[in-house]
Amino acid sequence: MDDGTDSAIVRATGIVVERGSFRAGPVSFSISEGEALALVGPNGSGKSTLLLTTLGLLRRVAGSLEINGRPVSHREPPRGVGALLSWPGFYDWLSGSRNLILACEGNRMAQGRIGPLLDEVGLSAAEHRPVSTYSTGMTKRLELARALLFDPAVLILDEPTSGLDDGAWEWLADSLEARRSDGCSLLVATHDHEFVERLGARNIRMNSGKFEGDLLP
Amino acid sequence: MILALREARAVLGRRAIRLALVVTVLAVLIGTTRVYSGTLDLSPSLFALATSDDQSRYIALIAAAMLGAEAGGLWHSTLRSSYSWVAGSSITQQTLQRVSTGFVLGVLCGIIYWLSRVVGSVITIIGSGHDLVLRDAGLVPIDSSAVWRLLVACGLAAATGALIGTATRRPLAAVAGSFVLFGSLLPIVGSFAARVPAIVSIQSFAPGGALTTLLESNAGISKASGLIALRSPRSAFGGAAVLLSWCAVLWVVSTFDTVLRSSSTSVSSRLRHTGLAGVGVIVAIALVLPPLAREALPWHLQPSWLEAKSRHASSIDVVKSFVASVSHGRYPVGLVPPKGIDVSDPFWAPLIQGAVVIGPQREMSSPSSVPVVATVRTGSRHTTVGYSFDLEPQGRSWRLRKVNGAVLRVVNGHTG
Repeated sequence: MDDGTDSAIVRATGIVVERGSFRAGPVSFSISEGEALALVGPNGSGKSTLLLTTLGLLRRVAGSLEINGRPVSHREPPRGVGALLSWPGFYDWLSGSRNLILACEGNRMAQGRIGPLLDEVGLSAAEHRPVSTYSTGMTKRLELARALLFDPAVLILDEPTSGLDDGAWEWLADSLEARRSDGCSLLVATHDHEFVERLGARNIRMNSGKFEGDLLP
Repeated sequence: MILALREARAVLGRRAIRLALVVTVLAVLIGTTRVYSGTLDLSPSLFALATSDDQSRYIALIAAAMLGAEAGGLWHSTLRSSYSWVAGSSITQQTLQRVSTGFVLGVLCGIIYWLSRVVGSVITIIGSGHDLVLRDAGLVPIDSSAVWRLLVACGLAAATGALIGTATRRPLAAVAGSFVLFGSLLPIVGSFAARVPAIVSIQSFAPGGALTTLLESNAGISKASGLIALRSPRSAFGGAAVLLSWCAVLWVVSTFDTVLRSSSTSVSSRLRHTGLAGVGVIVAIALVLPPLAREALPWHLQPSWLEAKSRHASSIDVVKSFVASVSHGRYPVGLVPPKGIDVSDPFWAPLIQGAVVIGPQREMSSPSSVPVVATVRTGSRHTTVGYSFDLEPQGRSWRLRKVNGAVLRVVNGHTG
């Protein structure tokens, strides 16, 4: 089968997801190195549920999932993944850099990348300010810095453009394109079609728990 | 441990937590100055004053438990857990980190408590016009192990609190839950329990009661000495078993779950219900086995002691009656054998002529031994005499068995 799944970084087979009374699937998809896949659809269509299940944050009802060749489940965390979810997950009374240091310490990682990453996302000047004083765009930049902290092979992003102004939107698209050109794969849940086009991503369209679109590369 | 320290430092940066710690410090300071204001005639050393046993240490334990609960709940409520998961930390690793952080926070809370006690003692001594020269406390045995023993107990309380936080995943619910499970240590609850014996029974099966048992047993957290060594070595095992059971239930509820909870019919929900059922079973056992439960309590929380106090028939009350009789030159009928003592003996003179302090309860190692201090002023000379009243139970009251006395100190000149 020459469908690109042999070199897949993310490989999902027959996944059925569930959250409360909502259930969707089964669905199979894969993402190759340096490729972008977008889950698009209206609010409540199950994009975030599929994305969170892919990360193992929610229990999947059926199917199998591998990221970077390792199985992922609700008991087995993924490896080599960075995420930007729909919540910041920072201690907002601490500074941006302190939050990143804690993230490194909590996962026993070196802190050498914090400075360059804060430079890259344009937060050097604000790195010592409490996160509670950050704007939405600044918080999103800090989230991206955290997602890139461990040099991930896959970036998983949930509604990354929500709340961003035009400038921040452009910046985020440029940053993700740059990552992608470096070989990082992207899985994005969004209802921002323009953003999907900008990334040149394949689409999985979701509606009421049904999937259609480019499931395989 | 370094990781736990750094995480603890991050949690302590939260304004609400700092405020709670300030309130705790104030409570301990006020408690310390109030507690000692009536006993300064002893002029104990600063160390003895700061470390002597009283109910205020329960404030530290409850504060530690609530602090740990806040830290555990905060981890999940801010959803930092999800990002830690994405970075490769399993639920088990994360829970272990929270427990470590809780333990460190608890120890810090204990350190803050001891510092507050020292400051409170200094304020009290200076405020009362005494000097800070160290002197032997005489009747107040110094329990040097009390310091680090309480630190360990605070660590365990906060680690248990952190497990409550990781199990509930909501800081407010966790803090409230910790207060309920450890709040039974508060003296006011003990007073209430005297009227409702079922509460006394349940108390020793709550984490707070179990921790107290462990803290105060001779074979407990350390080989105890001095005033806090109140319990039989056997009870330490009971306390440890109860506390471990709680931790095991909370650990299972914390770790057998997804990082995000998704459904009311999920395994996590069933586990929570199982945990609640476990709590119910513990409460039921406490009700079915009240004698065992009561045996595990500190003597000053035992229903019999509380009941005797309410009838004014405790050993302290008996000693008060004795002293009142002797000071009025009357024979203490019913308290000692007929003609068992000679009230005109100079041995009793300080009790008749001096200012007398009986007890108090916090300075008693058991109900059968009551300390009494009498200070007699002759011109500019102050003579302090200490008595130790040994008693034995007699029906629902007590009877004097033996009285020892000794001159503790003679001070010439005005002491304020």
